[in-house]
Amino acid sequence: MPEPGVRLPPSPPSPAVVPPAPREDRKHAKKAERELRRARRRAFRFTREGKIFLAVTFGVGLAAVNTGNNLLYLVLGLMLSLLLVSGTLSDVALWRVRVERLLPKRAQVGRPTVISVKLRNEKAVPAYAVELEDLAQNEAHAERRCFFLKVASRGEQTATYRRTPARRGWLRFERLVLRTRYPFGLIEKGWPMRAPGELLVYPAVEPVDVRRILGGSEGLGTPDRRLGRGPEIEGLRDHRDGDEARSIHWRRTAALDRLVVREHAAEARARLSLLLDEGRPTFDVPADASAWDAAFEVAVVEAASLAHAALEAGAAVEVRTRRGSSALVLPGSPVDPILRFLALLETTPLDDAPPLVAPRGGVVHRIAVRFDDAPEAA
Amino acid sequence: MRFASLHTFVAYLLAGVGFLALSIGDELGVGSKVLFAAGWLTSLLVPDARRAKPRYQAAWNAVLIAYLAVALLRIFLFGEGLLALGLELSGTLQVIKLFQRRIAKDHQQIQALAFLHLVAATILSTGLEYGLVFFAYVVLVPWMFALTHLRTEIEAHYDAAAEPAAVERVLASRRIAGWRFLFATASLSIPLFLATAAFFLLFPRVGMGFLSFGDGMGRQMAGFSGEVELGGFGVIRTDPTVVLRVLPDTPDAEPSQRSFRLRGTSFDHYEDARWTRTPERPQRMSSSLGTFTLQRQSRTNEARMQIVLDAIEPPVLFFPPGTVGLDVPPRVEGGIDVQRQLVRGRGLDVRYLDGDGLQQRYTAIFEPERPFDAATLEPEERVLYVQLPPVSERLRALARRIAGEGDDATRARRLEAWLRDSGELSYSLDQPPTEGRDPLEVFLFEAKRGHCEYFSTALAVMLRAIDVPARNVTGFVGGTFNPYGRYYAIRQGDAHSWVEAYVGDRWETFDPTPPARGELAPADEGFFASMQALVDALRTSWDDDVVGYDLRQQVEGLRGMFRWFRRFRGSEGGVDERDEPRSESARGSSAGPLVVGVLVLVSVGLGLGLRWWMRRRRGPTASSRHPAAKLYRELDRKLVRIGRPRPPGRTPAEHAERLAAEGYAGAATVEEITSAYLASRWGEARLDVPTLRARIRSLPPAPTTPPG
Repeated sequence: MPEPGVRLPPSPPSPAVVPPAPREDRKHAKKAERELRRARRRAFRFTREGKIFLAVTFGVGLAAVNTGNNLLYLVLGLMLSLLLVSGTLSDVALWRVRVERLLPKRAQVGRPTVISVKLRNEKAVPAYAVELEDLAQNEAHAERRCFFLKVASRGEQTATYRRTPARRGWLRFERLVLRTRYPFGLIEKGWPMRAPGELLVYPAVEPVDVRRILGGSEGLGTPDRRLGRGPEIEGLRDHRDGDEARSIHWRRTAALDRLVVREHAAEARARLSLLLDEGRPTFDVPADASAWDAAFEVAVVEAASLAHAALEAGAAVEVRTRRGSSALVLPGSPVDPILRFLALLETTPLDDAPPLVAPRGGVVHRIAVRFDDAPEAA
Repeated sequence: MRFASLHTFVAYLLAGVGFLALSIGDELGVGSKVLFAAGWLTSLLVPDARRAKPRYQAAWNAVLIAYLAVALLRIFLFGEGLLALGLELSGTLQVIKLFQRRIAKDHQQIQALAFLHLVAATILSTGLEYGLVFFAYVVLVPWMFALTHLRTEIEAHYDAAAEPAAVERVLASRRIAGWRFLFATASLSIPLFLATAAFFLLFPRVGMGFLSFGDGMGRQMAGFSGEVELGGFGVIRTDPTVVLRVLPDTPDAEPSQRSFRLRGTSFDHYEDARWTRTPERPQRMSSSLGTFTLQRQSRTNEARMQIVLDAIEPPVLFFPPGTVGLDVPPRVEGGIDVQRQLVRGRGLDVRYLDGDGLQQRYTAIFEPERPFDAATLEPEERVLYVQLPPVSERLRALARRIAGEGDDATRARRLEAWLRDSGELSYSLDQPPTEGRDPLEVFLFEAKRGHCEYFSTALAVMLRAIDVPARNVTGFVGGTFNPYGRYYAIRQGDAHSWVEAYVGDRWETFDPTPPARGELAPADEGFFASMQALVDALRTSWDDDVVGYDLRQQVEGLRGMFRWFRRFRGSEGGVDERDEPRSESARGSSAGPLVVGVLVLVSVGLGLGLRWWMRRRRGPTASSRHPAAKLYRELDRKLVRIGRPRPPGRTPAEHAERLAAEGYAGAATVEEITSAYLASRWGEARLDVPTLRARIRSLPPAPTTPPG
């Protein structure tokens, strides 16, 4: 549930809970941290035009002092007043402005996600040229700003921006920073607001050929005569409590003036179990650790892609790891339970981890963490 | 108005103000001014589509390069002045930019160039016209800055590459900046003015004057330089320009006109119808505590007259009869008082050396009973004052005949009386045609009319013809009270010429000009004269309080403010402001806090008014203007009158039910009106207002509940 933006004093960032990031990402994370600190601290800065204006003001001041020309003092007074009024009004422009972030239910690594931000202006005067920066923990991205040219007095507007998550797991939003350079564009005022929010980022899904793995699994794609969730319609019956709304046959419902639902034939279940070993060996060399982490992320992507493709092909899919397994997702159902499981999957030290157990029956596919220099694999 | 159109309009206004600033003074030629005005106007006619063409932009860039090349040639080949060329260049840049303007960056450059013009104008003029330009600039600058900033943001945030029409669409919007935007932005000029005034007043005046631009020439004044040609001075009689101001010694009930006689300089040599001063090395005057002594003081019946003199050329100081000393405040340079330098020449000619193009404010200490010059005439100087060119015998004979017998003073009085009062000669501004003859002869024997210069020259020459030392003196006679500035204004038209003759061992003043000239010129009346007086008062205040503001005034102003705060502390502070001396320059400081107070009150009042207006426009108040709400308010008032008021926490429907439960006779009517109100207010049902209003009026009074 998104919370309206509330202006609060800065708080220390909460500990990172995302999976260990590769080195490049850590660099980004550090940069993001620096930016976050700067955003908290620096609520005031001169724009490029403001810096030029300041330099000219200094020059006019020097000329005024040197010449004693009172008209130059007058111009100097005007320039200082412009800076003063600009700074003050930039602050006033952000008064009584409330912000609310509207997050989608899920996002996916590498795919742009549209995030909406609603800005409500509670002032009696319109708010002009307000820019909003959405800051999340451990993530650096350029495209995280949206702009409101004019929000009417006591009006609200929604703007969107695109964010492309770089890592799976929880993307934790920490704060929104309102910025404006209005009215004169000389000074930028920023107002950090604590606006926590979470967005689950699924791993990326890539096209893979799953039939190679499933091979000629018996019954794959062939409808069963039992009732189930297969694509074939077995018949119609009256609606009962607990039936899904999507199974309603609207045409017959309208014709009979009562709710009628479809009954599907069960599909022959080819079952695919993906074994993903999250046990992380101990490395002496940090570079090896980073390389293993990167390889593990590739394996997660492979698991997600295979799961998605297998479901599309009509197989039931589950992912098994040392610490547990995902739900068994039946064909025709969304792949979300598996992607959610993979999104939140963390590595575990190999020494303490229970063994990875393969299920009985069905097709079992082990996804290797392709790390060439690994000293040993479990 | 479309955003882009509004932005263009404001940009042109600001650029126009910049051009006006450049046009102040005489540095910029008339041709350049006309070209700038033409460019300013014609650039408006260029359609946007043409501006967007790269070849059009390149053509203007080529024009600029060509102009720069020509400017360099003019500097190196013809040695033209850098200042004038610089002004011309900045104006040309602005014109080119107006032709090229397309995006926000162009508009930023237009506002930067307009600002440059405003700064450049500070060295072109210190006059009130600069103040007017500055005022216009301060009013326009919030608009221009805000609109340019919005345009910058629009261009930065709307993706012109992905959607080319997006920026154009937003710029064409009428919803971004309407009248409320313009009003609100224009109102920013009020805090801008206040803050500018505060910075101006408080910024320490410790200027070192290394690059002083203030050494401007004063206004050229005929009649006070080293040479006066007969017939060349009197024609300024009609010039209404104020050059000198006399501050009254008593603040109450000033007559609209008083005749001040203020002496400027004198001439000792007359030849070829021309008065000149015999060359000499003037003596530097010494001062004691800022007072320059002119004559020995008797310190009896001493009076003071404060004079504010515009910068004129030559830099002559004017003073009233009997002046014994001049109190000239020092200039403040680099926070240090620098004493003024005065020189005194023959014939009581006092000038200042360190002219800075600004007004001179000084005090004449005078003893009204004394003549202008009580010095004795040394024999070697006497020769100068009886010098005469070859004059006709009939002029000498006329002088002898009119002067008759007696002492020098008597004979001088007779000549003065004949010229002024005999009626044989009349005052006229018309120049008598001389056709190569001696103008004095033409005046005395043929035309018999002329202005003050002719009369004073005739008297001086006739006195010299009978061997009485005499000199021609120029100065001012007049004074019109300016009610806005509370001073007497003396105009160029009040310039006058008279004679000083050395009679009875001292210099006596003789004024032979007939009264027709009117020592008291007819008072100016009417709207135009009133406006002139107002403008002059503004100009004086501008020169005194803005252009001439210095560290001394700053310190005095701060002292005044402290005194004002102390006054609020009351008697327990035990400090009486009368204990502290006040200088003349702190004259207006007591009004300062009052002005600030009034401004604060006005600002608060405006703020509260704006808030009330805003609240009135929105929310529950807006809904209260609904006809149904008005009708129900009438019912509310009626219920109050009949003793069945609706408590604030009760809804209309609840109240109607309550009245029915209480058995009130008019409960059914109240219920009917309440239902109609609810149906109309929230259900948009039609409301028969006249009928319902009649029903309200017909509600019966409620019986008084018996006690107990």
